[in-house]
Amino acid sequence: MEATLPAVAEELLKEIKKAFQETSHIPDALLLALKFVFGSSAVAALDLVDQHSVTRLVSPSGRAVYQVLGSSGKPYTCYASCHFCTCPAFAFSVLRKNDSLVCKHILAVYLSQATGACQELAVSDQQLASILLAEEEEEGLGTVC
Amino acid sequence: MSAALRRALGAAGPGPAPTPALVLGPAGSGRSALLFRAALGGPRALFLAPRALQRLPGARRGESDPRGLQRIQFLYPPSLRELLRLLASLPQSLPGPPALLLLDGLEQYLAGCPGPQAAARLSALLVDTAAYFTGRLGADPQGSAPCCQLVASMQVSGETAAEDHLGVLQRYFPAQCWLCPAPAAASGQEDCGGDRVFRARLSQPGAADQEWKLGFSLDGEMRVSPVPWGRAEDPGAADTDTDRAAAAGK
Repeated sequence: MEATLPAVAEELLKEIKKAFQETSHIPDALLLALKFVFGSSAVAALDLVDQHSVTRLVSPSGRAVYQVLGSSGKPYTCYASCHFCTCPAFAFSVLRKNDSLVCKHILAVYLSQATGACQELAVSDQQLASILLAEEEEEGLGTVC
Repeated sequence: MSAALRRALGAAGPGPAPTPALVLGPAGSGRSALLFRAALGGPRALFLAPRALQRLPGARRGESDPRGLQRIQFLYPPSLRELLRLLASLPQSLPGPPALLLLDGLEQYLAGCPGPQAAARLSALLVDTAAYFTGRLGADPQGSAPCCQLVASMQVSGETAAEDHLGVLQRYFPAQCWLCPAPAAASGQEDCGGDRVFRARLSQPGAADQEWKLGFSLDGEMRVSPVPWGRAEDPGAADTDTDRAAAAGK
């Protein structure tokens, strides 16, 4: 993901990636730092990574999007180039209350990249477009006045 | 600030790395003209708007540059739903990646957004589409542009529900260009030779603000002149918050 995180968070993810490449696990000190920076999302995101819940979907055109299977089994869409997730926590805690950097699904995308736990799946361009637009119908989008 | 927008305003020298930019201003402040000027001055551009332009904004009536126009592809998704579908499926419908993605009239699409998540989705999909085009441009060794820049415009009047989403939009558009009516005496309108004068102030993280004057003559032509550095820094001449409130109150 190319979206911008605060420098401290980016540095932490880099350290996690480096440590995981060298030892195949994340040291306790980095886990504590992860919880300090990302709060309660950290443990939930690690669970999602452990369960291999993150899949990167790629279409023949080269466009990609992430799909994260939530703890309830519902799939959420996370964009590849910026912070956006279709889950309610992103709408409430990130967008509305502005008290979280990201939701657990976006953090799981970052962590799955750092630990190489991200699965990859080829889909058609049409399938990718419909995943990018997930839940559009539920939101009842109107027409331009 | 978006390099395309700086170029449209005649900025000299290299600027900071291009970031998605939002042009904000009241009705008649030249938002469409500025976007159109950015499209004309650069490489291949994709210009999106809710409806077809009645005439070329910022140009003299009846005047157009056919060569510049050939580099612009115009698409008019009439609703938010159509716009989202278009952005999600653009890779299949375009012959090649544009280096500039422009969206005019964002407020009209936001009027159909029921909440902040829908506004975020539209903004994120615009950013994601531009990022995809950047990847395609980077993969083309013959390509003339290093990345696809995103610039959107939005009318602010202080009265529309769409403006409730400004905080969300600013997450996805780190650069903002505010267009504010310029007081005649302070702006030196005669220099611009126009009947209506606006100040354009570009702000983005990590760079000093820059300011220009936009003058619109009776025949509709837009003229741009830079505001000297010292003057832009003068709090009396560039009281941004006050200007934004004044613009929003129009």
